[in-house]
Amino acid sequence: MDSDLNKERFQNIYHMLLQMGNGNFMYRIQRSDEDDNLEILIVLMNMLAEEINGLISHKGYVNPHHTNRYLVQTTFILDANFVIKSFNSDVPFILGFTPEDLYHQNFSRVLSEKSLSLWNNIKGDLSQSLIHHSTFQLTFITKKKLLIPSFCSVSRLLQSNDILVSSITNIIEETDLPTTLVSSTNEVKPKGLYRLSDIQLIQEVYDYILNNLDKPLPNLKELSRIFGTNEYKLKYGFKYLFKTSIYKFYNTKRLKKAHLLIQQTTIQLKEISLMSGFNTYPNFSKAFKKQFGYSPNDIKRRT
Amino acid sequence: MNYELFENEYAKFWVNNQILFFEYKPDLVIDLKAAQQIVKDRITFQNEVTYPIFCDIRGVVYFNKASRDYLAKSGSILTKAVGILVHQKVSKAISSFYLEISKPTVPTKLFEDKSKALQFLSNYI
Repeated sequence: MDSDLNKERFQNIYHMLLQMGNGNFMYRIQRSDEDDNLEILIVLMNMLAEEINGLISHKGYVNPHHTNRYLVQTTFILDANFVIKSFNSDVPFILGFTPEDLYHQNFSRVLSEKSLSLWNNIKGDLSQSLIHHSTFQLTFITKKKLLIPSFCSVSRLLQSNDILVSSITNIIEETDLPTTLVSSTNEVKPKGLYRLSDIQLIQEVYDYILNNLDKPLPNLKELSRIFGTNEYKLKYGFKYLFKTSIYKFYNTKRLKKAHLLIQQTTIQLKEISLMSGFNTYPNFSKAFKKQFGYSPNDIKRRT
Repeated sequence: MNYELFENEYAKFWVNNQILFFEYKPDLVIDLKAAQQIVKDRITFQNEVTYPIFCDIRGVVYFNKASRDYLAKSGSILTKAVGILVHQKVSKAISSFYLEISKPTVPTKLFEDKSKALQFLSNYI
């Protein structure tokens, strides 16, 4: 415990704990090659910090078992006419377009209406070489017409006419979308949902759904019977904590699983629909199309 | 079909006696991208068949949160049970944390002894 290396490792743990005490869970401790008790503490602290970071960005109660990606770097390369030449792999994911939708399009296509006049000014300045590098607040628009306010840096690359646009963007998580559409009363805690045991119960329901995606979802009444609670608590508690309805959550998860199976296996579509808790193929196909905008049949399958 | 060895950037896997043997390569840090690739390749490799999985994670230095969550949920597709082989204190701690917090959706157990892991998995053949 007294070697220089151990002193340093202990210092790291100490500083990390102070940071966590201050609510900063972004730091991680550098790992060593040791396999001792101190290293166990270090790795557990790193994992704990990751988990807590996930918890606090989710109302601080439940573990949604997914990682929010709030900050993502998008990068576009435009030619001298401000047409999209290339972009990094996160761009299609963030904006919801296929790569084909984006190549050879005017960059203005991915900007919101409000950003267009600013972009036109930037274009003018770039063309006249008035600016070489500058930062702007531009708003991207996704295929589903969602806005992503972004802080962008625009610069002309050296020895080239190409223009680089990079941004740090906020991903608007699908489950967060309805907040602007629903009334503010949804933000009020449902009556009775104050005890930790209730919250843990809803976490159990969440985990139960994830573990049973291959079966039809029991109705609300049945679910509340299984978990020994009432329908009201379940329905509104789930919605409050996870920002989506029980059925919608189940349906999205099982369809995503089906999508993966269609892409990666040669299992018959009908079989996949059964594996995803659907009673009939037409029901599956309809729900699938509603979720993804195309049918199970449209996915190119392995031969 | 598919009884041969499959290998990608992160792991090798093969089927023997109705158990899928999955072995991570040395000195890996698994992130979400790696986890997705691994699950995708494994599902493709298995095609329609569900197996119990013997998972040798001794090569892995760290699984980050996103990969832990992904493996615990989507990672269970086409699996009956998972026996995880660990060798060091640290890999044991990482795996215990995973079982306790990320909650994999199929029966999953830790082993330091390969034969005991295989014995556990044989219940799921």
